[in-house]
Amino acid sequence: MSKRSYLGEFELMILLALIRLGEEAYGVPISKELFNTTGREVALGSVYAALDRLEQKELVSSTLGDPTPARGGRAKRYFRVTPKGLRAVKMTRTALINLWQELPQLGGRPA
Amino acid sequence: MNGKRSRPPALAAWVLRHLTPTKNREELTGDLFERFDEGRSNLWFWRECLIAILVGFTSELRAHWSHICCALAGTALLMPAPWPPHWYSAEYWLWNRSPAYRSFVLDIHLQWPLTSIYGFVIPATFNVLIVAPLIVTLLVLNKAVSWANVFRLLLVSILLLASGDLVVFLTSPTYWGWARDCSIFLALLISTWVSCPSPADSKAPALSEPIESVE
Repeated sequence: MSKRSYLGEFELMILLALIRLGEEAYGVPISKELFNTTGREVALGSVYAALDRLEQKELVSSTLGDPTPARGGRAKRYFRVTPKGLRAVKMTRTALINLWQELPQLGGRPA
Repeated sequence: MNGKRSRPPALAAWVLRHLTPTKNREELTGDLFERFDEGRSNLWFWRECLIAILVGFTSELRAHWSHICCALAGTALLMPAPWPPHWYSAEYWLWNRSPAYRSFVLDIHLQWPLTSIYGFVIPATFNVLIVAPLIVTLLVLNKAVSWANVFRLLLVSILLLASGDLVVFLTSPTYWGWARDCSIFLALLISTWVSCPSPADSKAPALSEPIESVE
């Protein structure tokens, strides 16, 4: 049996935010995207900790951008979902849809 | 509106630079500066810094759980046993039971401070040999087994255990107490932390496949 690892709620949210942002995904836009779509203000430290975990699992990759004066001369780190990360997102979505379909009383469609 | 400030609180920035994990530290600091430049308050900056430190600390603990377990197990092996007749550590037990070991430690004629160094390094070496199987297990768990790593870990452990023993001996009125247990734990934790890389320390491989669609 193959080893399957489903994503946690926050990890899934981060990956979906990365997919939505595309090429412009670094710390600030990611936290803003999470706030705009979920209404949840997330600390940047938590975002980076989750991104670090996802990078260790090879679900995201990162590249360093150019430094800017507004950031005190510090570079941005751009994150991108890897094919493995995309597969994990799809797998988690399928699992969640299947679970919802078993619960018609909560709004899920019956299987 | 908080009003736009040119610089965030200097103390918070200093704390952030010195107490967060090195990985992504500069990028996180840059992001916080950027948000602050957009009009966030000093209080917001402080809050973000403290959360970053807390999250970074817990992440480090999670990433180095095997080092902490190894240090705890090593301390348990070296600390005074709570049952008779071995009231003290294995090294102390050997000291009491083996005249050969005692003479090996005592019957060497060196000038001060070499005698003191010798008196602490020999027991530390003995203690490190006791915990050596744990150290090797840690290296195996972290896939970092090499002669260089084993040698470095043993050497750093000996030096830190001897230094810790010396500090406790000079400062603690009751040499065999919790202070010595703490010094053993800290010595083992620091030596394993700095000498045995965990898998989390290595960078993820670069992206090689093209990204496909979500649908």
